[in-house]
Amino acid sequence: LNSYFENPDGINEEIEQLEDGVYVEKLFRRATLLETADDGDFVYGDVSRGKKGWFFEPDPQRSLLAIGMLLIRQLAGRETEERDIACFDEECGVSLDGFIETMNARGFTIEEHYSLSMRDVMELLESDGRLLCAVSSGVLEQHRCVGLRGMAADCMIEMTGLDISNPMDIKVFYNHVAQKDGCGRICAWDVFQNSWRVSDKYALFVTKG
Amino acid sequence: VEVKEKMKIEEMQKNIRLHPIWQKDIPFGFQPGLPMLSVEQNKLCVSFFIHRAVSYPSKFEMFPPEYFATWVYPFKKMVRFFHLPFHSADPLSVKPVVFDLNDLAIQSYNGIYDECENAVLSWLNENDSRAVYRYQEYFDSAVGRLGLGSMYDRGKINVLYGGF
Repeated sequence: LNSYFENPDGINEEIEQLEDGVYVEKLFRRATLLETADDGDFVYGDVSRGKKGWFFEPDPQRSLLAIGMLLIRQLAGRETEERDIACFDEECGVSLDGFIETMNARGFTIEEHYSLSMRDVMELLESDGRLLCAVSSGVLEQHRCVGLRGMAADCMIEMTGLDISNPMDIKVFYNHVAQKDGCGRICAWDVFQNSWRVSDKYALFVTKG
Repeated sequence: VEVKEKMKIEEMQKNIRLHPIWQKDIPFGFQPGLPMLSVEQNKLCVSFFIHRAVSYPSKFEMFPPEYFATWVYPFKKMVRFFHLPFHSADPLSVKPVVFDLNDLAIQSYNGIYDECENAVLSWLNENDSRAVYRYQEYFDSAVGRLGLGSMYDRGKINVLYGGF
């Protein structure tokens, strides 16, 4: 298990190779996970997280903005308006720096992460904070754009949980403000990884205080 | 003689997204469009339109570009940046383009990236600007097949923003 989780770079390389067709290796890794997970907790995070006051933002371009407003509402108990978000542009949304600056000004701490491994994700989900992942919504929804090169993250979603009870079918729980029924969605880890990889597994970890 | 390895387009795009201007000024969710290679000051450059793109189950929509930027190899240094609506009295006026993601379109789209990587590699190893010109010709024909000819009109882009 340790070799699976401890070396994020190694894991990423292996996962890349797996997708090029080294399927046996993938099965072996998952089997190792199964043996070790028998006496452990199968679900990391809190899958009911983020439901309070959740709202739908139909424009995926504004997902980061919407998540910022939602987190301020949920964690600080305050309402905020779009114009209060720094660098907000009516047409386009908000830049990453603008988002971070705004959240910092409201008493939130934001850590930026790249290339997170599954173990990193588990640790963050068990910590007191919220994990936002930059994904391609088209790849996440398994549209045909999955086959296109050069896809970039167009959407920020909140990952709320990870269920490893069946290591052959690991599930990711997430809230997607740009989907009408986006609160409490579930997808396979592999699908999630594909959509997250377009941003080099970029994530923001938001804590209050 | 050191032989350079192929630089994947994904790596190129990662360098670009890590640029401070990108982090500070480009709204989250915008993405670099198709790579436009050029040789300027005897250096290999890549320019991108930066715009929104929306995916549908079997279609892909590219919105009109909002920014234009040029980077010098290895694509960490930005040498040109325009916020297009504020740049020119006669901006490149294009409408959003939607194309079906059939096998042919995917092949054409991905072919642009493959050829771009090959041209960059030729430049690095042979300092051969002809590879870049060949890529530009390939680019013109591929964007035409995808219905992106008006957005990626090389003549107009050259006049308005330079480089390509």
